[in-house]
Amino acid sequence: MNQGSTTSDAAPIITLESIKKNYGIIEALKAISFNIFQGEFLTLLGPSGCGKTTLLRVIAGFEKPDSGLVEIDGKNMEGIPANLRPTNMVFQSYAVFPHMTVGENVAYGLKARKADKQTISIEVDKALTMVGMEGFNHRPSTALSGGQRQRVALARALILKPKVLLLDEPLSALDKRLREQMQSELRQLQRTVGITFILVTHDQEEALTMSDRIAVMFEGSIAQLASPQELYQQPTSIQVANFVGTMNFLNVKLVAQTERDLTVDIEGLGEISMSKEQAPLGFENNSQAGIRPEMFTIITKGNQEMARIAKGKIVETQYFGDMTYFDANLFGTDKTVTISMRNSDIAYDIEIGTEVQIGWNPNSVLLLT
Amino acid sequence: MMGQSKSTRFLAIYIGVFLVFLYAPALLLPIFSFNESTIVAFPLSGITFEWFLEVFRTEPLLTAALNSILVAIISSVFATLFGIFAARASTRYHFPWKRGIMGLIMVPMVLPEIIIGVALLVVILQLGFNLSLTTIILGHILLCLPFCTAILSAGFQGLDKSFEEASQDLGRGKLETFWYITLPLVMPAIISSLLISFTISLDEFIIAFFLSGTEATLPVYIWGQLRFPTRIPIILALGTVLLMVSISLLMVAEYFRRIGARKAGTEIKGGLF
Repeated sequence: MNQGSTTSDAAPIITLESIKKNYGIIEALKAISFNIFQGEFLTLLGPSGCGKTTLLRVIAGFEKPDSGLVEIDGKNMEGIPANLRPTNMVFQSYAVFPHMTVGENVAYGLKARKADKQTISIEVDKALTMVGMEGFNHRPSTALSGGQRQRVALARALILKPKVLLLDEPLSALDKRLREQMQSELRQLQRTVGITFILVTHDQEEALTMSDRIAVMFEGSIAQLASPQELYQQPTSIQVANFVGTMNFLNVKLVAQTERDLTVDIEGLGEISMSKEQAPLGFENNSQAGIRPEMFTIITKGNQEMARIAKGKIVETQYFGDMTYFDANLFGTDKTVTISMRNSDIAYDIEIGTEVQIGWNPNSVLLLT
Repeated sequence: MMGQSKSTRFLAIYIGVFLVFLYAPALLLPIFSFNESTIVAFPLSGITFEWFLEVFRTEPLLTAALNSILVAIISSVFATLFGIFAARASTRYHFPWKRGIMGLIMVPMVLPEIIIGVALLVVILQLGFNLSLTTIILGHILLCLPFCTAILSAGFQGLDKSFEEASQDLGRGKLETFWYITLPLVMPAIISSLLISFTISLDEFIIAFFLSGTEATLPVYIWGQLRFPTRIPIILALGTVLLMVSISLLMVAEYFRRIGARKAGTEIKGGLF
């Protein structure tokens, strides 16, 4: 497993050691171990039921792991309930208390700590300003929109200056435009306050745009832990490659191998050679060639030379304004690949049924199992 | 169009007849309580407030009324308290035999009151206790508990678990969380539960009849007075007073329920009353 490199020189704020959690016969978490570093934005990404929320709740203290060690800021958290942990959480439903005003909601944690009235009032104003809701103190919290509730939940958690802020799918209830706005605001906020954020999401795009590192989870295990770039460019398995971004998969046949290199025949594209270091363990059986849509180019007049050319027929087009996606059937196969083209200087108005030349580079092919 | 207006007219008539059957008998009560004659029959022989004054001059009646109110308050408070425990446990925790235990709590709702009354009487006498208001209260708690548990379970179920978790996450312990978050948010259900159990206890007759010693509750007292025809107008006047009291009580409760519902941000639909 690759630990990523962006922040590994910093001190770990959270250490997880072989965390296990079962619900009856279902293994929700299968011996999860990794470190989360001071000040990083870490995302737990995975489909529903993969254990990401359970892991977050174990860190928060809402779930007790069956075994394993959770250490936050150097302290073992075993037996320490949620209210005594240096973490705060933003819930999926925001859980903004409906019987309190915005100000009372934000002040709730400080009141629990028995802070004096003046401090509370100053801190509440500061926290509301930080999330762009100054002057909302006396609004009833039932009169807020989804985005405003989200901000109140954030202010309410951040006012306590937690060591770690936990976010459980905080953006999933917002519409697309607001979600994108909140994504960048959250990222900026995290940089400003310098608090470690742990975000749970099933939205790979959200994970890629916001995180320093992403832990991709499947069925209670971490499949890959890496920076967004590494995760996208060097996924370590078919499952990860499939979940993060779009990936074309083509069957491969091993043609020849030496001690250092190997040659494979890719369905519809032809033979390529690569160093064995680039191939995963067990590539001899069941491996697939993966190639991202943007690594294909439809050859028209005026675009650059590509190392290799395959032939195909356009069967579907999808226009997105800045990009056009083409589905092309590769000659001599029943495989359809997705090709994305940026609509900058050349307009790709290619009709369905057109036969095209598809350019690609052997070094953009990943061998995956 | 014709068909629709026809069926609308039919429905209007149906509703009219329904309401008359439902409320006309109850409305006769106030009318005759102002009647000068002791005989309950039309035509009325004259208007008087004498019977109302008589209600407040009849010492045993006032004692019985106070007994009833005392019994109703204590029973509703305890039934609601136990109901909170049961509802909270059934909506938040998993424990063995949960279904069976919850089922047993609900049984008195469908058990004939006369069975409960006789059974409690036998047990209480066997245990050597004297019959008193306390024994009536015990019976009424048993009778009210299923209603309270049902109302409160709905209240607790409607409460998003993450409110309580958020409170703990922000530094409050479990008891504080219950006090500051859970209780205010289920308050409408608690008020409903108190009111329902109060009214159930107030006009409950059978159990009170079996379990009362020398101190009677109001329904038991009324039952006793019905043997004397001359006392009937006083009973009617008493009934009128009770009708007014319960209508105002329900209106006040509904008012608070709506405030609570608005605070909790839930849509106001129909309601219990």
